[in-house]
Amino acid sequence: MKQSGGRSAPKRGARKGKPQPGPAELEKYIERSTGERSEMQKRLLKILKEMERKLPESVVESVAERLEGIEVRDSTLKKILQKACDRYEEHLIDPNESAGIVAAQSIGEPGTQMTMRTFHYAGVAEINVTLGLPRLIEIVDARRAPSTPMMEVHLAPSLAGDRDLAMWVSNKIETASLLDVASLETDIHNMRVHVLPDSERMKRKDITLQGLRDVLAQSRGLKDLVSENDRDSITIQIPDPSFRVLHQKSEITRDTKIKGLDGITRAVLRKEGGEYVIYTEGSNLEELLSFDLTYGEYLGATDKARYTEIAESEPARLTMQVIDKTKVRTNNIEEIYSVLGVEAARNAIIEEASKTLEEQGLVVDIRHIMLVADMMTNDGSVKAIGRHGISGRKSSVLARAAFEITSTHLLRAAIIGEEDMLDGVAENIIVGQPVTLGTGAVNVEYMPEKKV
Amino acid sequence: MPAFNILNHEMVPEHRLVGEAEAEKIMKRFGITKEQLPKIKMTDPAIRVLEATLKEKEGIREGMIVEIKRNSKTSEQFTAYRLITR
Repeated sequence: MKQSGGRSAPKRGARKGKPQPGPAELEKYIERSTGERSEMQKRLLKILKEMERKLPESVVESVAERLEGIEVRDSTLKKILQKACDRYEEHLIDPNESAGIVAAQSIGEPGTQMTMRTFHYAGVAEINVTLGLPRLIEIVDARRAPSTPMMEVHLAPSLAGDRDLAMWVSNKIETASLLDVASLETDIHNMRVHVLPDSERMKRKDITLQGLRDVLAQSRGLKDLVSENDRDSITIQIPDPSFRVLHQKSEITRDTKIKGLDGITRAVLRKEGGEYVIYTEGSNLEELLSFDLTYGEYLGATDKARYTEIAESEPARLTMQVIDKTKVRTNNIEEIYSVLGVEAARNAIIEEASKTLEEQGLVVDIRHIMLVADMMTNDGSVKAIGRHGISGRKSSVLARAAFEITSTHLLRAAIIGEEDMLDGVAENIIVGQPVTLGTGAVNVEYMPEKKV
Repeated sequence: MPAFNILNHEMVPEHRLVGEAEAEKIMKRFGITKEQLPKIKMTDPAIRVLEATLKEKEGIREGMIVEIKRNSKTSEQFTAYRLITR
């Protein structure tokens, strides 16, 4: 099964006997991305199709690479491919091989080395990110939110080199609460709350007094209470004298979000190659994907002269999105699942897990991680590995009892009269039968010819 | 400003709805029933987008199959299927 990117259990049937190449599918293969394939690759695929055999794209690609620039006849190519197919099929996993156990051990063993090395955090671009074993556990347990959520935001390719723009964007997405830009004073005598903006910080966060006033006036519970025309402060007047109300309003004021996206507490820039990438502490994928920032907005706020210049020459650029939304990343897998779907979550699990292992200098074949990701996303949602997830859903009572909380499972099974079909590994070991793996998976059956 | 189409995100592989006849062929090729496929929820964001782009009268029903063209690190392109469930 090594040929496939995903190795979900139901595909097993497909491996029996020779892989059957659907000719129509191969044709689609050839059509689909002709632009990216080299001449040689196309030739190889054509010959493969004639031979009615199948090789994964990556193998065809590397064969083609080796043959590049060499004159070869079709008959020779056929021989080469024949050999390649034979070798490839030799390397496929055997039917009924215990892929799951191999995967579990292949990830588990390097995991033991992780424990010894680190249980701490390491800084990436001045942002703390959980790494090592704790992170791996987080991924496999399908936690709702990682302990250190983080996002990676790329700018549109043509603008990515602009540092000021990147600063502006990071400033826009970073949350600022009222206390970040102003201080509060409660005037008990006059039943008022005074908001005293710090001009220095206001400037840094790019907020005007009027802007602050508008936000406060719109926030729930403060309607019609915000003063209209103070010069350098904002007053919130409580109509009827009441300490409780005063306290409550003061709290609402303090917690008001002035700008930015919920959950994103900090954003830092980092230069990667020629482009600036924004890393954020905290994650909010959904809001970021629906957050519109155009180039025109940026120029309008900073460089009016250039704005008019571009408005005349190429007005289309002004409505261009500044953030490249196709590239936004987060390490919160649950969030990816709910915003981008299971398939994206599967990709995220594979990526995060292999990144974590790689970062620790551990080499684990990606196929094992893919198997784990496939199992976790098999039923359309992200399930944890363990008692509450996959292991807890095994159909066999004995297998579940062998895993954790034995007595509970046995008792429950006895009460409701559960049946055990004995087709898994654990239950067969318990009852002392050969397991249904490898040679134990086949039976010899004799069917006598019927006498006529 | 039109909302961002999540199918364009680089982490989301290409999803395509498979027709009835084609689904049957695929099942025959694998030698399995639809229920043995991995599932995808009706409420999955990717399915919702697919439904929005479809013509009104058809709609997406339970028991349909989506083809997913994954970009795989081991084989470049890999085609997987998922059954749509509630």
